[in-house]
Amino acid sequence: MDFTFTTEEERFRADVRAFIRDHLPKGASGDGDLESGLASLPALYKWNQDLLAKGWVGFNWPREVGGGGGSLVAQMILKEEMARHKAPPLGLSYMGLAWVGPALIKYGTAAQKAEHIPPILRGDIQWCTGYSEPGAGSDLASLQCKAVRDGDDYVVNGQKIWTSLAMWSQWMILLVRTDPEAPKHLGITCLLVRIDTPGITVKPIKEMNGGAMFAEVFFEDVRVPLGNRLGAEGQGWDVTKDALANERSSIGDVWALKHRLEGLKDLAARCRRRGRRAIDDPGIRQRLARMETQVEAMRLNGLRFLTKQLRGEPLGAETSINKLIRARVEIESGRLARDIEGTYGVLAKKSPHAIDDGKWQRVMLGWPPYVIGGGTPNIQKNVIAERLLGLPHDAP
Amino acid sequence: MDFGFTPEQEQLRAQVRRLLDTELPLERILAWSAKPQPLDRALWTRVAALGWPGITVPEAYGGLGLGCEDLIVVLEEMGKSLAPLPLLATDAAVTAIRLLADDAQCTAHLPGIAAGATIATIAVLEESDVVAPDAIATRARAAEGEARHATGAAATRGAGAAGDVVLDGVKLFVPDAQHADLILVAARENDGVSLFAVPATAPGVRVAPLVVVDPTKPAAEVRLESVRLAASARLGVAGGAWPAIVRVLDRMTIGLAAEMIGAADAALAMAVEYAKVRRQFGSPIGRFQGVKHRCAELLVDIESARSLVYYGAWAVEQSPEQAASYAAMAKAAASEALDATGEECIQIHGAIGYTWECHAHLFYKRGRHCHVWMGAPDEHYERVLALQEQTA
Repeated sequence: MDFTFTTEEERFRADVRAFIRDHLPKGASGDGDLESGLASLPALYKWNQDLLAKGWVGFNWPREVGGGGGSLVAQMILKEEMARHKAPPLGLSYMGLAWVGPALIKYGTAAQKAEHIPPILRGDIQWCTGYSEPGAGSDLASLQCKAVRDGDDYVVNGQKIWTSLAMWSQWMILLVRTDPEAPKHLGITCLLVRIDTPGITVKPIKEMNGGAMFAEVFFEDVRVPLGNRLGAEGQGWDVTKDALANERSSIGDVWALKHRLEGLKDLAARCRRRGRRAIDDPGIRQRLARMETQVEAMRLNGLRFLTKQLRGEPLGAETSINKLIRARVEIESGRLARDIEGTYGVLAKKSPHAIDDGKWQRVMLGWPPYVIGGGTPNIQKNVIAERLLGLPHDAP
Repeated sequence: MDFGFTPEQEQLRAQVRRLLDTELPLERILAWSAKPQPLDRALWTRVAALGWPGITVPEAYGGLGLGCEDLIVVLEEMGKSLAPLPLLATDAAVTAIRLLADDAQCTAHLPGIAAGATIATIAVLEESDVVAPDAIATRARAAEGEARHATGAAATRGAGAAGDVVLDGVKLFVPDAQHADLILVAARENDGVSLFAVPATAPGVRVAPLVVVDPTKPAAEVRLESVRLAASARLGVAGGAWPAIVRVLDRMTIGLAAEMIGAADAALAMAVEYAKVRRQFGSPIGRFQGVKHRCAELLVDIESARSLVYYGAWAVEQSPEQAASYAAMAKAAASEALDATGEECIQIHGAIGYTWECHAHLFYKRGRHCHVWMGAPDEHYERVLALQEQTA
């Protein structure tokens, strides 16, 4: 075991810190989460340009497509320093960077890469992911939105739902069924679709916290050129599954949760319960320390998985372990904040007497995107049980 | 950056695995736990020949001179086999001697430990069940020329030398004391705590084995009645041993947690194998989410504890200022993981899991026992915050 870094890696870390000192946008988003990142999109445009000049947008993408060609360790350092200093996300095209770019790099034609990757890197284009449907959530491969060939186009009919950022996006990466006869995973094709194509309707969905980050998207005879197909017909499942498996060091999430934990300790030092500070309450202390232990375990799990990758072993379902821990911590942090505040825990934003203007109530109501999105905890448990423990698949 | 073991450490792991599979299969542990026998000294001598008890003894004193990372490799494998070997206690004694003793004392004790001839342990806790200098009631006082060794009804007299000390007190929960030849005893002296190397055969020492929930974790009460020792039995300066004792306990806590993740790993593997073959409702029970999801959650808990244990083992030697905090987190996480896994192992087996012949109860007992051994999770969680508040 060796937790030290090479001189070169340390130099890189210093470079990242200097960059943050010089370029971090004033008043820009706090903890790197999606919502606050989007709220200040215009102010963050220059941040994206500065990052791009350093080769830090698409940091681990190959240089020939305009990425940074960075190593796994350097990527971990970059993300860790950014999250530690509460920097905004490493690029503005959030879904484009997370989902579309990796799929394009592996499956895209030269023309598709040339068209789509530079705008993603520049942060000019927002993408959304047309995956889930009303009848295909956890069982995504049963999706029914269909595409039929007609001349040089596919004609798409059907519906998508839980499509994050659809109302701010110009493009969508869309999964459709092109072969209803094939086994469900093999009849799926991936298309790249302009959101302003006639026949597409986007309808925001109001969420339990009052916001609206995701939407329903309806397709009625939407014509998509054949040239916008990503990968081969019937290859859509692989195209997106690979993107799912791409990049999972979770170090950024860990630091966001560490900041959250510091916030909770600070809250507990300010709030009084039963005549004493909440931080002096043994029950609250147990929960804070237990959360700290889980976040530390998540950080160290990530380093063990990174080591596996560095040693050339493929990473698979291990990442579901950290996703489950994150779900536990996300949910517990809002609940713990409420319990620290006591009766004040019922007061939401803008209420008289609300603590920190209802910040923690937003946390309590805001965990589902991080916990449900990308596979619910129950699905993660299936993945762990089947792929890591070799237990039988539960589908009939 | 590398958070994994070296090829040499993986070889060590494989070697330990082979020996334990041959010598201590769970069938033998089962038979042994029905009627605990004295430690198999021949087996201990054999593992000594492979270097286990001397794994962290410096080469100059006949050991392998390896570190805590290597030690936990052995302990984790021992945990998988529930091996009732006194390695954890022995390493604690070795560490205390390394931290406190002078060259003559090291020469007197370490080669014998490394060779397997001397089994050693450390005695800190007492009836109060509190780890703190003030909680230690065992006392060391200067001998008055002559000392009485009260052994049973008869009293013997022996001539003493200047500087001799006399120990009185009762130590409780002393790991492996019933097999030990050498017991390091923490005693109050000069408003501080000293550590004394006490031969188990010294007049006035009485070791009474405890009957414990998990017989594979032997422990005993050690009574000291007017035990007269030469000044050379004191390791380090009078009253100055506590900081070293704290470091030993942190290291031992991480070692115990390493044994525990090994045990949890084996218990989960046993439950998972059964869930694959046991059929009900026309299907292996491992297909039902009530079973498979529980197994997945346990794997998350075990892997998390494992990361904390491994990092803690690294920190003990490479980043000592972090060791206490990671010992606390690792033990809390390992306690929760093993306690739950042992329990679930019985439940997944159903009624057969409750029989003597099924090995599930061995892991369950290890979990229930070790949950509180060297501190329950609530004590360790409290320590995590207290340590932060101290440094803040």
